[in-house]
Amino acid sequence: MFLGSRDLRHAKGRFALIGGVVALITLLVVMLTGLAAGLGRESVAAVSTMPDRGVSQIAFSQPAQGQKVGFDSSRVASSAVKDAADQPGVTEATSLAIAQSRVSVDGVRSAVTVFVVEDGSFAAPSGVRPGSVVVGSGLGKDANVAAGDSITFGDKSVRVQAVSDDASYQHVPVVWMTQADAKAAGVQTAGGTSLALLKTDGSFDAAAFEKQSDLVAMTPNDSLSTISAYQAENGSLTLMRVMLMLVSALVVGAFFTIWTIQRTKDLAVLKAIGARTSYLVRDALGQAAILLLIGGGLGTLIATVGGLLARDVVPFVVSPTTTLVPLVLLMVLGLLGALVSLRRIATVDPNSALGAAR
Amino acid sequence: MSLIVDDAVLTFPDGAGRITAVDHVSLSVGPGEFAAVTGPSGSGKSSLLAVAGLLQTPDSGSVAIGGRVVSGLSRKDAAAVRLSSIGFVFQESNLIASLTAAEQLEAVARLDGRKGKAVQGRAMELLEAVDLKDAASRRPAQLSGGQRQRVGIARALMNSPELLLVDEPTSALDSERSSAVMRLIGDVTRDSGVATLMVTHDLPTLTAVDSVYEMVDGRLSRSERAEAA
Repeated sequence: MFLGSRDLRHAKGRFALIGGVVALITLLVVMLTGLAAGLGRESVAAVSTMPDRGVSQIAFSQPAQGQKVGFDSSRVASSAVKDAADQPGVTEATSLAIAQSRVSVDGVRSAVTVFVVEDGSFAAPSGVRPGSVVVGSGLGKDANVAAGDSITFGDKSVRVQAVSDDASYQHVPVVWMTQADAKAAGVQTAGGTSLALLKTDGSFDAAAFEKQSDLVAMTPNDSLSTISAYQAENGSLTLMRVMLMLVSALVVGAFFTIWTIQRTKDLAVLKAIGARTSYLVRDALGQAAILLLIGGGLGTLIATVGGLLARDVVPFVVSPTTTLVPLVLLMVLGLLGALVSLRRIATVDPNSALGAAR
Repeated sequence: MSLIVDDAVLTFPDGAGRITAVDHVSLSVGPGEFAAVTGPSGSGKSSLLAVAGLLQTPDSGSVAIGGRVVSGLSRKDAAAVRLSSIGFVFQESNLIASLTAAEQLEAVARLDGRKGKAVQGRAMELLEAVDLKDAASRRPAQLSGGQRQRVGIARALMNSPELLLVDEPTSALDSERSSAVMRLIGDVTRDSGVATLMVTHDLPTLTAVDSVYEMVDGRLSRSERAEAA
């Protein structure tokens, strides 16, 4: 990249300008990615972390006419959970009911989502047993709840055994508690979402399971798409990220189109001397890669530092997935944009290097 | 002979018909020989240079460099021949704005996949030969017109070509600098044994050349100036 690096050094202003634009776009994309991951985590963490405790499938009831299968519509009776446990490939099954409720902490009431599980359920976080609950860290922040404190549902007090970062559902802190405690606390599960959580082995066949149990099974990860609020939120943020990435590719492509036009005379001279088109394209692509790496790297760095500072206030996830992956995607798209524009190099006529050429 | 152009014809589309830019031209230039082609604008001088430099493929006839017929090669092969066997000195030097004088020369070697101390040493040696060693780190904007053209000459010699093609090298220079550049081209031609073909209409500067041809309407003829020289 002999020529490209000299151009970068020589035309600092122009490259700094386009590098700044790339940095700003990357900053926005990384911030949106971190925010989307943070919001997504708040929305579905209680479900997406279930595989950590052995839940390999979630079984939903068949939806009523006009409804879609999933969390919004599932009503699985306890007898159906028992039947599910007897199906081929299922090693264990347990029920989960999801209900909305309110808790009081030192007289302050907060909305929570209650995940009601059987006593000793494999799907519950460690620490959930009669009289003890696990609460989401959101409740810990809002109501200053810590492990060992008590929270009150109506007249029923339960002890907080643990505060978990992964206990959140649709942006509301989750309280994992047993059926007996839920009943004593007056948590209304009748009419709410209920489903079966399954442990399965390699012989599990979802189609056969559906046929025999009349339940629809899907992995926890796949089941997230059935949470309509999560889908809408995630879809909007993803659309914004995709649009920004396309804008980035267009901006880089437009810059290199103009840059190549400005260099037409130099390119003609180099071709007349004997430069191959492939050499010139490789050189210019190297130049684009450096530009994207510096601009994108700077944007990623600023977004990462900003995210680390802001994540106590807004839901923001800083990880390689939310920082490096968007950077790599932006670089790939930017290089594609540059590559399309650099096809112009092939059309430069070396004969035009001669002053009086026709 | 380093360059033999044999009965070359080059035509261009012109409306419904075609115009003949090079009309059955034959020419040969030997090692260490400095040949010049003069003629009015539009006479086909630059077209002849383009044919000799493999920038244009003649409709008929042939071009041989170093005894090898090279007309009709693919674009890729023609580029390889240009890089290894032909040096170009362009009108107004055509230097790359972002490169220093030394890098202009180094870039040519890099196109051929060569780099390192040997390449840098060769570049400095050539810049010294054109009396520009002290200007090695200057960019074109920091050089005078004559200095730029001298860098262009040094650049053309970087890959030790057999053939030097020179296109109106003095068109942007005053008479004093023009004479100096012409003397330099004559000197490098003889010193390096390269065959040099130059097109120009700057007649007063032709004292350094060995042979002069005149081109009119695409036809080449030996000039009376050559007889005089």
